[in-house]
This record gives sequence, structure tokens and C-alpha cells, in this order.
Amino acid sequence: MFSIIVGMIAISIVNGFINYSMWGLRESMIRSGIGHFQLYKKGYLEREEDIAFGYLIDNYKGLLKEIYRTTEVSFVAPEISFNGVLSSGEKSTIIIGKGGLKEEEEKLNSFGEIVEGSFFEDDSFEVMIGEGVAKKLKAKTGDTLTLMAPMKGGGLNAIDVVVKGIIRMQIEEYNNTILISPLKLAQDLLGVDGVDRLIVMCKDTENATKSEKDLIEFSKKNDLELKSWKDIAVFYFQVKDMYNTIFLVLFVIIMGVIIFSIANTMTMNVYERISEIGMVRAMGARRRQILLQFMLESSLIGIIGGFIGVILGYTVASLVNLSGGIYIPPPPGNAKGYYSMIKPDFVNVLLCYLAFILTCIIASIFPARKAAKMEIVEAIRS
Amino acid sequence: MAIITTKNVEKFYKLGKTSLLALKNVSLEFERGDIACIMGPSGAGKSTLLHLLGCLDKPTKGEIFINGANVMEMNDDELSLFRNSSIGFIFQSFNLIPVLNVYENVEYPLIIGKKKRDKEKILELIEAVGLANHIKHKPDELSGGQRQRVAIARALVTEPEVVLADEPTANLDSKTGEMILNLLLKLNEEKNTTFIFSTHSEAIAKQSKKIIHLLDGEVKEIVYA
Repeated sequence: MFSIIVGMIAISIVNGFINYSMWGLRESMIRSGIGHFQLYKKGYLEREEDIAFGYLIDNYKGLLKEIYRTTEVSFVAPEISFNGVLSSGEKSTIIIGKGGLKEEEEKLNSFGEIVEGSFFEDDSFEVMIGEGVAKKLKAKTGDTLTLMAPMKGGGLNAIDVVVKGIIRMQIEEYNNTILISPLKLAQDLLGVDGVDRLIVMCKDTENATKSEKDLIEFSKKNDLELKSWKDIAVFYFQVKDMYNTIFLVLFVIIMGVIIFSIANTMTMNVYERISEIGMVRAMGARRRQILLQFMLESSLIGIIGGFIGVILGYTVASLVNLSGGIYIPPPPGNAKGYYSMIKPDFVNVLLCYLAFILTCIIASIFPARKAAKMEIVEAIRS
Repeated sequence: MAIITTKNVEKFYKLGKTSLLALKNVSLEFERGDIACIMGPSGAGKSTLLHLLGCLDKPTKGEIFINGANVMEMNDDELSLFRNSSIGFIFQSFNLIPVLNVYENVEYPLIIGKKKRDKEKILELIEAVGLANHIKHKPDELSGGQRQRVAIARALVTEPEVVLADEPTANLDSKTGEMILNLLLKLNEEKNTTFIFSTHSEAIAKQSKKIIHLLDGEVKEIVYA
């Protein structure tokens, strides 16, 4: 039973760790600017790269009102993205910029950490820059920098901006290039009136799919096209597949240990109880009653051991969570480490628990058959 | 009509390439309410005969009839059912289930046979074997004599027509052995149960109505009291 308890604890904790890691990765991607859905002007995604700002959503203010009215979303962030150069005079760096509204951008980038200063105000010349960008330019809050970007009609425009805040994003590459500015400032810089995307954030990711149908209808009606976070966050699914494989390998190893352990324990059990088996058969027990008895005993070991394992697994997880979690150093490509909690997924743990019980039953078949086939006289004599 | 009849029963055991003749041409009859005793030196075939009479094993040749039913024609499930309802066993080494208490050990054959578990009847039997104060005790908390008394109550709980006892007093001191024997004789008198003993004990032989002497697997002599 000990191996089952330990196995179930291990499975619960590993599942909880992976579950939390995947939740964290997913939410960090969604809440670092991707959102749950993105709406573009039809044709935007297949556009030619050299046609700058050819697919803008001009009537976005009216669309925003309609989205709020027709779907159950938390908020919608209108954005325009651009590439440009940010210069301190002494140094310059390429940036990937986006212009948005303060309130929405703050919520949209809630997984980013403001390491210095604060968010910009709308209708100002203030910007937020990534920590990597600030490092490259040796810039700090309050510094004035020059932002240059190609305009819609051609030519280069430049605006002096003030660093209002420095933000640390989860993905390092993003951290080294990001600039977030007020929407109006970006539009003035680029010489446009519209936005190139509407980023929709739902109340929570689990229920986001409920809004998808409404948004598809909305996009068709308004000559837009829709992309879900699942289409955009390809990295998340690659990592998820990798973690799932690791979990499966671990699960199979633990199951192998349990099969071996239970089969061994039940075989020993049969040998220790040969005389008892003989007596029970002499009293009239049929072969299948003996078979069932041993299989039942094994399943009880699985039920009780697994249950204790689940309880202890959840207890360990709670203790780890109460202590603040386990510090995980920055994964490759990430700018910062994090404290991982252990949050086992109830359905997954329940399935593993049932698999444990089934494994115990399967592992007992061979020794139980051995017990059932025993000759009564030989068993009694032993 | 005899409750058990054996006709020309033979039993061989295979030992590698050779075979050992354990019983040869055994033809016997046991009547209802008999107290029979199978005697003989070690290796004479006493236990083998008892196992065949108890349907724990099948003869290599010959036939065994219990209550008119031919044991040779029964499959394993039918034999199990038959043993549960018609035969009780008492073994030299008691063979109690160590994790069960006195009450549960006595109750166990009823559970196996999916029969009504009459609490009063079980308690009555436990009281009859003098263990009313030890109902909750596990086998390892009982003396040898007490354990054998539990085995007797267990053998009788299904109200079998035949009780087979293999050296029931061999592991007991003479005083306890005498007490156990008296108990069995009393139960034979009260319930008209057939008792067949395999034993070396002269004390048991003295109380038997029929003594069967075996030697080298053959019946040498049958003595009637």
C-alpha cells in the first residue's frame, strides 16, 4: 500500500505543478498583450508586408460599443502596432510598438511587472518601455527619447516621448523590444485614424469559448476576421505537449512500479496464506470466489492507498502553496522566474486514482489465479 | 441407506516418473450417525482416504457416493457446493483464519455458501463448544484446545451430515483431547451427525462404533464396537 500512497502523492503533486505551470504560461501569454481574441480587418492576416496600414479598422469606436453590447466580455482594447526606432541621442534601438488606451492596456498587460514609474496617461507624450529597451538605451523614467516610425503615406515621422514607466514582460525577446504608447500618440506618429486590431479579453479563459460564437457572428457582420488566443499562442501548445509527454512518461513509470509492487505483494500474500486458501476451499469456496477475494483485496489496497495518497498529495500541495510556492528560475527565453504553486486538477487526479485502482486489480490477476487454481489437499498440507 | 459408500477406490500420486499407490481397492460404507475411526501407521493412507471422503480430491479409480450422489460425476463448482452444505472439516492444525475472531471464523462457512447468517445459531454453537466468553478473541489469543473448539463449531455451523476430523486431538494435551472428544460425542448424540476420524488415538478408537484399520493403502480389518 505504501507504494500506492507514494505514487499517488507523486502523481498529484506533479499534476498540480504541471497544471499550475501551464495555467501560468497560458495566462501570462493571454495577459501579456494577446488577449482571448483578436479582431482584424478582413484580409489583414494575409496582407502584403509592404502595404503599411492598408487594413485599418477606422470605425473602431462604434464597433467597441457593439462588442460590449452583443457579447459577454470583460473589456476590449483597440490597438495599433508599428515598428520603429527609439533613440536617446547617444544610443538607438529597434522597437516593436503598440498604441493603446491606458485603462485597457494596463489590464491587458497585467502579467507584466512595472519595475519603475507607472502607466502613461492617454492624450500625453508618455510611453512605457520594456526593461530590455531601457537597459539598451540606459534610459530611466522621466527621460525624453525620440520615437521614429514610418508613416502611412511614406516618409519617417519622429516624436519626442517621455519614459513614464519601465515594464518587465515575461518573454525576454518581447522585453527587449516592447514600447507601449497612448493610442492617440501612435496614431499621430503614424498619420492614421484607425487601429489594426481589437483585442478582446473575456472574464476568464475557461469561459472564453462561450463568447467565440458571438464574436464570429460579429466579425462576419462587420467585415472583420477573428483569431483566438489558441491560434496565436502556438508556443503554449508546444510546451503543453512537452509537459503532457513528461507527465505520461512519469505516470507510466509509476504505474509500472505499482504493477510490480502489487503483483509481488499479492504473490507473497498467496504464498503466506496457502493453508488458509486450502481451508476456505475445503469449506466450499469456489475457485472464482478465491479469485474474486484476492482481486477484491487488491482493489481495496488501491482504493484505500490511492485515497490516502490523494489526501496527502493535496495536503502537501496546500502546505507548499501556503509557504508561498516553489521558486522556479526563469525558463529559457523568459525574463523572470516565478513562484510555482501546486494546483492539482481534480478531474486528472480522479482519473489517475481510478487508473491506480484498475492497475491494482490487473496486477492481482496472476497471483489470484494462482491461488484459485491451487489443489486443496496440497494447500491444506502446506 | 449408507450416507457414504466407496467402491473399489484407488488413489495414485505421481512422484516424478514413478507413481505412488496411496489407496488400493477400498470399499466401505458409513451409516448416518456413525462414529467411525480410520487407524493405521503413518503412510497407511488415512488422510488420503479422509480427503477423498470429503470431496477434497478425486480417486484415480473407483467411485464414491455421498447420499446417493456420485462424486466422480460432479464438477469443481458442484463439489464446492456439496462440501459447503454436506461436509464439515476439523483439522489437526485447526486452520482458523487468523484475522477473524471466534464469531467470524464460525460464521465464515455461511458467508462462503451465501447462506442465512443466523446470529442466534452461531452464538448457540459457540456456547455449545464453551467459548461464549471468547467471541471477540482472535485465534492467536486462544489456547490449542480453544482453537480446536472453534474449528468444531465452524465445522458444524452449516449443519453438515458428515464431519471429517483429521487427527483432531493430536496437537492437544490428553485432558483437552478428552474434553474435545466428549464434545464431539455429545454433538453426535444430539444431532445424529456422522463423524469420521483419522487418528492414532486409542481414546477416540474406544468411542467409535466402527474402526477401519489401513495398512499400505489397503483395508486390513474393520472392527465394529
